[in-house]
Amino acid sequence: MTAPAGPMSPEHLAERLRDGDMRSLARALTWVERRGNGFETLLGVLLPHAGRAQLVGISGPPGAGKSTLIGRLVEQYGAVQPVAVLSVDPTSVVSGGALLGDRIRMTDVSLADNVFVRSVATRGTAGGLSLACWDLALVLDAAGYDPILIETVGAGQGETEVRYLADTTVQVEAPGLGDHVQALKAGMLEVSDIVVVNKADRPDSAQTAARIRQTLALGMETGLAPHAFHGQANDTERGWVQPILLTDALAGTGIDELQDRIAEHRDWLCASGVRGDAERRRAARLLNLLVDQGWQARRRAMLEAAGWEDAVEAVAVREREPHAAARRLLQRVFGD
Amino acid sequence: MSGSTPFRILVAKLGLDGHDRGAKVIARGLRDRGFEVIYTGIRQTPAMVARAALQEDVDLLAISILSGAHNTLVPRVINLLREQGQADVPVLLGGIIPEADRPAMRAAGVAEIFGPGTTIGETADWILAALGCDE
Repeated sequence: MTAPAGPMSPEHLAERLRDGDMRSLARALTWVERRGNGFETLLGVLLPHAGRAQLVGISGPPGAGKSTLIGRLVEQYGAVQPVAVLSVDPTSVVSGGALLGDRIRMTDVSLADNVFVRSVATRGTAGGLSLACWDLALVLDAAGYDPILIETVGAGQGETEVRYLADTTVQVEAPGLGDHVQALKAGMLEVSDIVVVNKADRPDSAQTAARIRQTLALGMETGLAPHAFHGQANDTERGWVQPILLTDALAGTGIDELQDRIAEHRDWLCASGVRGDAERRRAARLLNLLVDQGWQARRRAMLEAAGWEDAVEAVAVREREPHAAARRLLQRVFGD
Repeated sequence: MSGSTPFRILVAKLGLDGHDRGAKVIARGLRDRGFEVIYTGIRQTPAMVARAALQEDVDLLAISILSGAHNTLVPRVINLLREQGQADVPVLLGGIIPEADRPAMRAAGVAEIFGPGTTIGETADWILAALGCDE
């Protein structure tokens, strides 16, 4: 493996990473994540080569065993096809730094030449995913990795962003993390395609799986979930019923079945026509995120001009009611 | 930290060495100074460390080793970095490195060696200077 020296054109870098050069791929990922000069050109060059990979989101509370499970999946996929992992950990809101530790469970498997593992910090993005993940997944996709496993930050209730990016979402739960009311709350459980109860060696795992099964069945009775996006026919009506699997990632049990279900979900997406809808939903979400980001950068200046500081002061000393203060700011910004 | 994108640092435990308190303290301390720190975990081979440095495209590699195997293992890591086109990634060494071994480590390409007693602040300042951000 020879190394590229110095700066490279987007075209050259794209060619090299598509030829399987890991150094070029790693550099492209950094370039795109940092949004360095010309990154849009690079993404544009790669775009026609992307769109083949199955993006698999893996979510779950901290400690459920996501990284270990992914390590197992990578081991199995890697034996027959190129597989990549994007592993997201949180950025400290205090220092801006991050400790990315998911790789610990994957250093063995990452030695294979068709395995690529990359750690990503959220860098201020909410929802359990870095905004950069969208672009990073495109680069890995164009490089020929399939599937691409996306591990969200330890999450479960608010961090549902990955369902927009991923084709298939897997929610990893573990026994002993809460009472039956936890399973009734809103969260990833109701929008995931596959549910895994990991740590199946523990005696209470069957009970956890039973509770989840009951919760999801309740959703069917009320006509809502499983996996219904607002205002759309839910996936159950179109023929996908969330499987609930038991795995023991440490021992490697249940991984074959999880792999089978992930493949079945991909087949179903294509056969049912859901994939087309999902692509449009994904495009709308990404555009929305990017426009929002640009909008947020500009709105600060607009709000300053509309009397932001005075409004904050007035609300802080309880002189003005917050809703009215917000409405007045908006009226000044939009001139209505 | 200057600029809006944090530097990426790989903190690696090399060889048959389970003593990772120091590596964890450094990893956490550098995180608190605004770095993105990727931690490999213990008992890593030179190939694993080099592969992680490659895929993560790190700006700097910090190796912690207390087992005494540095003379054998560290040059292997540095050779792999060179082979994979990462000769420009500075390599820091921490842990127990006897004074007598230090010239050889530097000759092999180690940029700096930090032993017991070094503060996180000193380490972070050195890293920022090495990466060209010393104001």
